[in-house]
Amino acid sequence: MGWSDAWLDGMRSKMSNIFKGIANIDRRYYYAAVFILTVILLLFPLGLPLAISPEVRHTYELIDSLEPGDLVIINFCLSASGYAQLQGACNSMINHVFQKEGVLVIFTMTADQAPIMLEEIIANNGELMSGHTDYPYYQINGKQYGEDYVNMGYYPGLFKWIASLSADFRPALGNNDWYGIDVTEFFDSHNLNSAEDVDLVISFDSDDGAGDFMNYFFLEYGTPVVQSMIGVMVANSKVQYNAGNYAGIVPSIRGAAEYQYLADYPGYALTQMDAFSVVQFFLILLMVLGNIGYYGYTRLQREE
Amino acid sequence: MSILRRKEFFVVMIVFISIFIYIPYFFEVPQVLTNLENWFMDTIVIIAAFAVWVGFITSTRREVIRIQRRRKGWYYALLILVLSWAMVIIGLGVSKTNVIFEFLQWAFVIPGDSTIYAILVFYLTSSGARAFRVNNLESGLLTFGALFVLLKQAPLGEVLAPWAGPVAIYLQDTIAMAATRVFNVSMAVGSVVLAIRLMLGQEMALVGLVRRVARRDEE
Repeated sequence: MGWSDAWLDGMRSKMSNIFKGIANIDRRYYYAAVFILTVILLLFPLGLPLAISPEVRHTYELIDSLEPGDLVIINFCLSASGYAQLQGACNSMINHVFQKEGVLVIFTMTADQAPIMLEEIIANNGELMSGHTDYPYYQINGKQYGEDYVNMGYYPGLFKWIASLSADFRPALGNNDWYGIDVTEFFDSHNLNSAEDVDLVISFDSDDGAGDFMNYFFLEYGTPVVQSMIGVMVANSKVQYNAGNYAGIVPSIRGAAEYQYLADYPGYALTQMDAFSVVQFFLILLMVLGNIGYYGYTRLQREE
Repeated sequence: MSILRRKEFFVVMIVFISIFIYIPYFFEVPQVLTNLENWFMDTIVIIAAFAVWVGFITSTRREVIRIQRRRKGWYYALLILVLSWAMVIIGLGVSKTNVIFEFLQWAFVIPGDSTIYAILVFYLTSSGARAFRVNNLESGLLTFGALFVLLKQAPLGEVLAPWAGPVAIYLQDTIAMAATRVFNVSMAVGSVVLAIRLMLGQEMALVGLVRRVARRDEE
């Protein structure tokens, strides 16, 4: 064996080690890189461009087309795990609904952790009504609690309660709101007696609340249902949207950012988009590097 | 054996209640039947609320056994017991909208739940980098599919690689949708089959009627 063969063997061995190293980077480096990238971009957002998807634009236009006297149920089927993803959508969409003059809102919750999240969102978008010092007496864009909107709170049973609400509207809601205040006057004065009176349902979901509203409101009464959902639910929700079962969708944090842009409500979701973009590109880079390492290493192994 | 524990009793109950819920959903029926359906639906919600208590009591029983037998990680069981009972006692004692109860939720429940979910991003990155290795045709299709969808999903990707968008939309709206629809239809058919089997008394495990099978060393 000549010197050139020995040099080639040495090079091959070195390359093999390099490829093996690339293919098996310690996962702790991934974790550290993701953490650093996320923190930096959340603290110093770059303001990267954002395209608006047709489904979010359609949802925005649907909410924008609400007429005076329309009744909207805003349901929170949202746990804390999904709140970070949907906080932007909750704020911007609820604020948009409350901008529509004469539109009535009933807040309901089918997740036990949701009530305090809703309180935070109401406080973000509203202010205490004069003469009151605490929840539920907040006015949002001029809408008064008890006159234009009520917070009926959490109901256990998920789809069972939604089915009950569809079949037996007033008894399923009860007479008292989440705070124990009698809100019968709200329902009586606006003549809200059955599920047929509901004109739109918006559900913020980390569990499939909108799917149940679709089954019991859209399929029974034709009530349009809009869903804003966490990332893992997007694939299934798009199927329902494309099939016409959902009137609109705002998918995860990306959809929330698009809605914030459309509603001119700059906030958390738009800020998160830069970190979202860069971490996704980092993942693409890791996929490419991993494949280069894997392909190079296995090829050299085969040659040996 | 009491009639309430007989399989036939449960089957009759299931058939009876199912019929009075299914029929008013699909057909126009007299108000009496609609009222009966409504009553059943309201009752189901109340039972579901009590089921939360059953879950809580079962969880307490399990954690107490873990602590008594000093099983691995028993101190976590102690933590679960203390926190869960604290939430129940304070919630019942001072009401669900009280500042102390809400503080406990903001201080422990919300950050804990959010943190556990947020940790996923690290695992997703690591597993994504390791799982998407092109070593045959199927894994190649999966990897390139993921690449297109990632490029389309990231706002920056839409700017730097606009050609990825139409491919990703095709993959999502055609390929992925077809697969998801198959899954959804299978689930729907499965639910109908399960309901029929339940009404025929073939799936009694769902209502808690299962025979305990003796282990070989117990025989």
